Amino acid sequence: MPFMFRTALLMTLLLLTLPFSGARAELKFSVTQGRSEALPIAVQSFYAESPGDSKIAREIPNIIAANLERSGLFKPLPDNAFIQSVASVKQHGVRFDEWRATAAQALVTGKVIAQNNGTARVEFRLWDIFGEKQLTGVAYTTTNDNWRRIAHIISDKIYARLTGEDSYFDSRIVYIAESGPTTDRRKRLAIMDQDGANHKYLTSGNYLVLTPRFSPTEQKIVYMSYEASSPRVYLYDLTTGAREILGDFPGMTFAPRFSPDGKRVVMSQAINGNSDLYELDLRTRNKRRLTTNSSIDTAPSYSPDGRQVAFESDRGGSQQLYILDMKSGREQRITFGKGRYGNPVWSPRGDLIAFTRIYQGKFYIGVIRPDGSGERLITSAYHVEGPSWSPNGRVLTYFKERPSSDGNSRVANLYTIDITGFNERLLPTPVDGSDPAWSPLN
Amino acid sequence: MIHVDTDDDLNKALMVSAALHLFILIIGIVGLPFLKKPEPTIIELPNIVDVEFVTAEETSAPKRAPPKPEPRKSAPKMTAEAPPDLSKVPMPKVEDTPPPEEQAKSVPLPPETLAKPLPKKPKPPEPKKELTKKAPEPPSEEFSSLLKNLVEPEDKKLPEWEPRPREEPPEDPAEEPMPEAPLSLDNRLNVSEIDAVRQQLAGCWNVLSGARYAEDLVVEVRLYMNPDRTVRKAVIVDQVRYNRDGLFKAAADSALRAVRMERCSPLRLPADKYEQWKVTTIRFDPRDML
Repeated sequence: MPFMFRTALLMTLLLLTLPFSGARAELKFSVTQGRSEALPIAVQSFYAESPGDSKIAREIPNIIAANLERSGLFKPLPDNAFIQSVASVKQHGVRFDEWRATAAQALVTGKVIAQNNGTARVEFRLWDIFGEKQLTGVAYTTTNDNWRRIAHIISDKIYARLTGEDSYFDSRIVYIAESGPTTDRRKRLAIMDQDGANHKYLTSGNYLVLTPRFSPTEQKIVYMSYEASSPRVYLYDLTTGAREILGDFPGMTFAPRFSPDGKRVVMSQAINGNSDLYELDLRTRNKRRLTTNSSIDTAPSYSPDGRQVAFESDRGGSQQLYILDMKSGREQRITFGKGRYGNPVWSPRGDLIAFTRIYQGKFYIGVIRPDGSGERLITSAYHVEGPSWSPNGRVLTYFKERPSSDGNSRVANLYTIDITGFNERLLPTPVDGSDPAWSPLN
Repeated sequence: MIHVDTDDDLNKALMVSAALHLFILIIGIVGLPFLKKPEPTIIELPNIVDVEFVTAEETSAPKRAPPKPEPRKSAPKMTAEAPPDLSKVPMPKVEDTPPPEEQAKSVPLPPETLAKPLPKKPKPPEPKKELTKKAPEPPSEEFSSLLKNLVEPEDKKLPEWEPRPREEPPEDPAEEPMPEAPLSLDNRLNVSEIDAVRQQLAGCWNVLSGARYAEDLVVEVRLYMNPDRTVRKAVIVDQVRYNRDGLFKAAADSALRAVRMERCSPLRLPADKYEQWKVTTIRFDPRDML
């Protein structure tokens, strides 16, 4: 090999080894403490292509901001803190340095464009102010009068992108609207959007109605009604208004709950003084018994995968919570605390079971893991009951009751609370309310 | 007489050496991260093309028909008589319901009644304030109790049945414990210098409480720093998980916001040790908080 070539090869090899001779330093450390606070977000009014769109262009962001604020996870900033105007964003794009000055960490902008056929196109974009980039952007086209729903759908998109979790704003709550004195209490089935808007009554109030439950797959509810001489369970189709009788169930005190696939319901029924669990196939109307125990087994609730059922039973001497494995039939107790546990409701996320507990003379709403660990009591009242989960398993709704100031009646209100136990909010209704049931996402 | 061909031997030695060097170089490229080009975070350009369109059929058609008030046009399947026309039924009187006693915000305490003022005692001399290191701020109520519990559960027997294991997300190979920076013996950062940056970032890093599998959302961020202690570029180390796991993505974005926030820029790093921190990897681990 010629000498020059050898020398060149040697030099090349030497140069290749140089990066290894002194490794570049990299500092590494962990941060294990932080804050847990609402994310500051700027929701700007949407740009209206024409003056006729200006109302929607203002209202949609208002609803978005209200949804996000109510979740407790976001802190929408007031308009007067904004520096860049709507027109400026439209013309020049987002000036991220101006938005950083507002202390917002995320920004929502949008546009409303009326179409010729009576529809409106609504566009929104979610921006990362510090990263100076768009996180998501979607356009929706719908009829002009459906703008509230668009606002909820956009809220869901923003929530999901910033938290990584499923959302719940495009959903509804059905509940029992109550009015009148205790001796002549009027109860009507009612439905509203999850923010209290679009409130409607579904029944007249001439007969007692109780415990509505939402199907997880369709716009249908079941509820108990005493319009006949004995309690009956009705299946109500919200899209058509049609009602059908599921059956007469003497001795039933709660309406059944749907299975995750919406094809079956699980219920408790007292026959000859013994209350056990039953499952009813909605298509065939065949009923099968799930528990055979001399105790009171009641208030069943399916797990999200349908393989287990949580229920309450006094078979152990006091009212506690149990889980039934649908395949093996094995029943396992999961609560052992003092007082009485009841009305378990399995979260759509599957990680928690909500329940009611009476302990030391007070009512509580609590959550517990399906293995019986991590019990937490998150709210209490003179009387609090009837927990129901939001579609994403993050928020609970329930009702609280207390005697009225004159003692002749009761005051019942609906509330929501985050699973952390914080952010308890009154859910406004035109009259008193009880027994709320949260729908799946529309 | 033995003839040695030194040129051939030398050539052979050179070829062997070249092969060995090449082998080490390949190992280095694969094994040493700083030689790898850092993968950039995904940047979505604000372009109308990125906006996904939802057709009218998806949003306008399923507009819910409002639940029909009674009486209904079609006869219900049940045989009972049609319910009365609600428009003729007087609306129940809406009582002005007093605000509920228990609200999300705290109830104001009753005004304290002023006690008769006691005779003034002579003030004791103030103790000499020692200059001590500022202790970290005590955590807020919400921070110290991310999950509320009104009543501590009593000791109770655990269920005998082996609980059904919950589904665990796939293990991230990057979850190995990271070696902390050593104590300073020469020009490396010492513990107090690193603690200063930790405390600073603790004020900027926001953790979503109540998130499912929150304890698995450990995020590593690699920072490429300017000499003025500002961040030139921040990259999520586990790009694969960032792109496929929405929860991790949200947690990673939160970590990125922390290092870009104004109150965490510039970072409290010693300016004279730039060579030590010009590439910094920070692990944001929420497990201690949960």
